Amino acid sequence: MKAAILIPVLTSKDAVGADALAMARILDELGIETRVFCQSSSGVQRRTWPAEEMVAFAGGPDDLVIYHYSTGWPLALDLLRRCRGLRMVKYHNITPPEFFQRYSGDYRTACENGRKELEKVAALGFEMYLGDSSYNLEELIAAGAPRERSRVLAPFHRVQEIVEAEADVALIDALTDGARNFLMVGRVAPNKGHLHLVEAFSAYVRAYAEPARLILLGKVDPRLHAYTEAIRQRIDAHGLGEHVLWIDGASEAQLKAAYLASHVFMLMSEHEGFCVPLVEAMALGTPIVAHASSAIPETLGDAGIAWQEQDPWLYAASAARLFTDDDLRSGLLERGRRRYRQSFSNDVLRQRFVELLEPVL
Amino acid sequence: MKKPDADNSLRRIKEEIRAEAQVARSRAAHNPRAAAAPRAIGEIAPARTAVSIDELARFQFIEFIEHAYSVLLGRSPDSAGLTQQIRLLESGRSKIEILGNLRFSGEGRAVGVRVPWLLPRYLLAKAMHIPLIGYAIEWLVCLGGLPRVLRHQRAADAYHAARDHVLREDLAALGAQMQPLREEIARLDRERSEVVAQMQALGERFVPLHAEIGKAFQEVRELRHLVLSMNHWLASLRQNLAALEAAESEHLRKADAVHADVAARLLEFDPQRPARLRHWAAEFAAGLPPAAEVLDIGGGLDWLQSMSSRGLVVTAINQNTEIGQHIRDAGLTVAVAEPSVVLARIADHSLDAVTILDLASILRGLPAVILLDMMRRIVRPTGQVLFGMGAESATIADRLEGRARAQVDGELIERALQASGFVRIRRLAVDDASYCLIADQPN
Repeated sequence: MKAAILIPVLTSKDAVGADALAMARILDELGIETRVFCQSSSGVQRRTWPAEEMVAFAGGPDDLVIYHYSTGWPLALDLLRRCRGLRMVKYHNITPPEFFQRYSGDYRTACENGRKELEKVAALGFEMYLGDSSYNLEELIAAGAPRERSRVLAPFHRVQEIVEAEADVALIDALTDGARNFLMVGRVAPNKGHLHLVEAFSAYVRAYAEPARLILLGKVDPRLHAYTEAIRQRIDAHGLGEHVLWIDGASEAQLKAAYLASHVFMLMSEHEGFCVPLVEAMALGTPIVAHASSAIPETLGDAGIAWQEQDPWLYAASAARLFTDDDLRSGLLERGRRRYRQSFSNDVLRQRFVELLEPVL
Repeated sequence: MKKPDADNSLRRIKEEIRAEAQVARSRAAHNPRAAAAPRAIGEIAPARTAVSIDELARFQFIEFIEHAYSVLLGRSPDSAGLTQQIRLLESGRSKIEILGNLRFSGEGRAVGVRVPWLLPRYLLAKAMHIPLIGYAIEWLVCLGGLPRVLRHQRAADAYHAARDHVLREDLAALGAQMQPLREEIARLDRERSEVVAQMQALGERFVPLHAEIGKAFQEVRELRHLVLSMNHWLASLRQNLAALEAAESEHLRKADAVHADVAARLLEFDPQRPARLRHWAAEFAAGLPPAAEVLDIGGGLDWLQSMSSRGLVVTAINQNTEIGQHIRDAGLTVAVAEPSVVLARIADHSLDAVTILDLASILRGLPAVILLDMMRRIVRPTGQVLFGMGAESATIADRLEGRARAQVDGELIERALQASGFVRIRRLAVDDASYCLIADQPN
């Protein structure tokens, strides 16, 4: 038996890439000869093979293929049709194109194309359909995937590596100046709700008159320049330029420092298929206030304060309450650590993954 | 029930937060001044802000392009971009030009990776593409670069001379290493020749052996032919024997049919027979338990039916196939066989009684002593035996075949029964002076 991981682009820091690499590593440990097939890869130590060679390697009746679906890729569907073994698809969700309407035609088109493939993927007759969350899985099922062959498997992540990494002490020192630090982690993209976040942060600054800092940690995408500019303008409109710290392309040490030095992790994202930063915040002990959209309530569970509304004053008041209510903060942190340990630690996910593979092992 | 308590607590806190949000909103409306800004933190540097041209240019071809994209744009090349840059490299454009194209594109400027000295070199490379002037610039650059080229040339000469010396030394060392290898190859060649010679000698020794094996094969073939012939002959013999047995069997069947017919006709001339058999059957059955198991040897169908009508369970032995068939047709159990063979196979004390109406014909094949001993063995305690002294079908058959009628002395049989251990020996007589003997097996 041989196993193939099929993914369009493999990068080590990307959540989808981390999930694919972890699966490949587990399959290696199970003694199954495993290769990762992709169009391109960067920053990855593991050797990869061109996608076109996948069928020759793992297209037989005893082989296993796991396709990581997060963007449109017609070639993958063609390759998967030619495989005769056990085929799994892991759906990481695709951002609805409407979010990019005002900011990037390329992204909008890419997301539209990706979403158009949803029905084709559902109809391809995979032996197993996996979703990072029930939210993702329901989209697949609504597109026609059979419910009896669908399972939830949260994505593998690099949280443990971050927990064990050395934090950037200089950054912690710089951030520990008495100001309340609001942290948002995620690439700067329109579905992440940065504009709502700026509003909530502004509300806090105006209502509570305490020194506060908003840390926007995430990759700034030059192709989404218009969106980044809109955030900057919103910040300037509220006169908060000096309150906001951008950290682009953060190292693991900087990421860990940001979590450790922040007083609240505030997530106002409007669309998430799972949201790994929530799990990072749980594991590193940063209390969470979040907008209960898409898969966020499912990932967050009872480990944070979640609101259906986007009223910025609710988020500002939530942060203020967390800063003053020690019992609430410690209770949420304890629940977060427990939730990470019981539901999202890589050991738990590994066991679940192996259970799903048992029929073919 | 800790979980519901925690849920209730969180729900309550959220209600309080909701109320607090309203208060905060109105408080902010009356306090337009924002809080003081936190301490300024210098620019948080991205993971990488500057990279040298040498660092970027040390990779080759596709690897060079992918690395340049990764560093200067922070992403993998898209397929169109990759194709375009590969085409430029293939057409002889310099790496400086590729790097400049990426770094000074809109996307590259937005990312802003610093590459010292890239801009002037990029501009110079671009200037070389201007018609006529570009050609002149390229000439000038080449002319200006001549002293450096010469310097490089001299350095290369020195390097190659040094390398040539090293290569010669390496070649000599390789030659020295080759010598033992050549000797080893020669030795292997010699050994191979010896092995070939040994194989040829072995081949020659195999020639007579081959002849012997050929002869043996020939003999085996002849033997096989003989065995097959014998098999054929034996098969023919078996067929002939089977035909003879079938004819014999047919003859016996016909003889049995004649004997049965003659016996039936003769017995019809005995008007006392039915009454005699009924009387004997009644007396005999009276001394046995209900449904007693009785074995009859050589009796006719009328005798068997007389016993059956008295509630006895009767099994018959008869040597005549025709009579046997009549008995079977009447629904009774019968074995057509030699009596002595059947008697020898019956288990000890397994029968309640045995009847033999035609004792004379049985004694012709089975001595009285052995017969009585068998009776003692197979009849249960308190069981009975009945011996008839009259003529039956077997005796009639004997006479038809020219054998003398066997004479049975009743007195003698009584004494023999007594001597064998039977008790209560009694004689059942009828008006025509026919009689039978009944004796009991002691308890």
